[in-house]
Amino acid sequence: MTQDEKTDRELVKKVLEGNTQIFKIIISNTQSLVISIIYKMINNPADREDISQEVYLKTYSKLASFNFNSKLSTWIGTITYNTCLNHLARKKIPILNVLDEKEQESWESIENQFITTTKNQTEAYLFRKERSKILISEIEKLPPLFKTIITLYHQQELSYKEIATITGLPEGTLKSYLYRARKQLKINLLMNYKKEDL
Amino acid sequence: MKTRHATDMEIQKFIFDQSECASHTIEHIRSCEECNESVKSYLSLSSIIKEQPEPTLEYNLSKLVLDQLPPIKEPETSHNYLINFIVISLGGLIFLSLFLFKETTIYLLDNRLIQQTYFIISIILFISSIVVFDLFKSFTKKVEFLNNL
Repeated sequence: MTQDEKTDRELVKKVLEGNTQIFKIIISNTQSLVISIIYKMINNPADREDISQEVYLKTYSKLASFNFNSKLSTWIGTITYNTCLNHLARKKIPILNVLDEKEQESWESIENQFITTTKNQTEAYLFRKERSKILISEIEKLPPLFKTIITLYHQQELSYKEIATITGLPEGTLKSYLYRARKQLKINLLMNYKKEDL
Repeated sequence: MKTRHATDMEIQKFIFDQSECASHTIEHIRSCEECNESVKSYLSLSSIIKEQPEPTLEYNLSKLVLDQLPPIKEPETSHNYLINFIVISLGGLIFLSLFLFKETTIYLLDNRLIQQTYFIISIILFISSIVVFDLFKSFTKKVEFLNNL
């Protein structure tokens, strides 16, 4: 049994015995992950606040059914992701804009042309640290699913397995989405540079 | 050595999943200046994302949640208490009946026909109790599921 699992078991046991103050520790240990997912999936600040509370109330009511097949934080991450998905479904907001094959092909040809012509001159410029503000706004323009997986992988430094458990995606699909998300981000940054340059 | 430049996906695999990258591609990227530029740009992208400040909350989430917590439900324990109570009550009832009607019991045990009848009845009762117990268990599971919705 790993140290994480031992700690998770102790925390869950104490909460189930009625020590609700221990739940505060669970919240502070997992809040960063929960908030990261919510902020990437949901745009409305009022909805974010409601959903963050809803996530922990659900966690508390389902805690007795947690079977320790994953880390407690991953399980709470899954609850968060599913709660956000339900919210987006109710609001009819797609988590991923799926292009049809023809659109995908033409988009990729534009991308390739663009990358080839601008590559050397612009990349060094684009990824300098002072460009991080542009990067934040470009991340925000990505579809909710892409924003979330990019943040979980690069910022929260979760493994593919953990992200796959949270999102319910097969690992292969997840990797492919991550490639697409990074590529889209890079293209958007390049286009942004071009606009600035004109 | 591979002469064509690595594709975008190959570059990303080289950085983030090198075990999935073909050896000739790795060799090419390491020796190609242009592909190396792409590698550097993705590495910068990754480090800038990592350095982004995490969102901060304008409210105390722990307090808001703790104020709303209902008492924790422990259906398993109460369920066990109920079963224990039923088993002990039935045992006590059987013992009391045998003690009160011991003469009748001795007469019944001597009569073979009555013995067989009681044997069949007890088997039927045993099977019925298992079925009822199973139904009760699935009912409590459903109730628990609906409560958690």
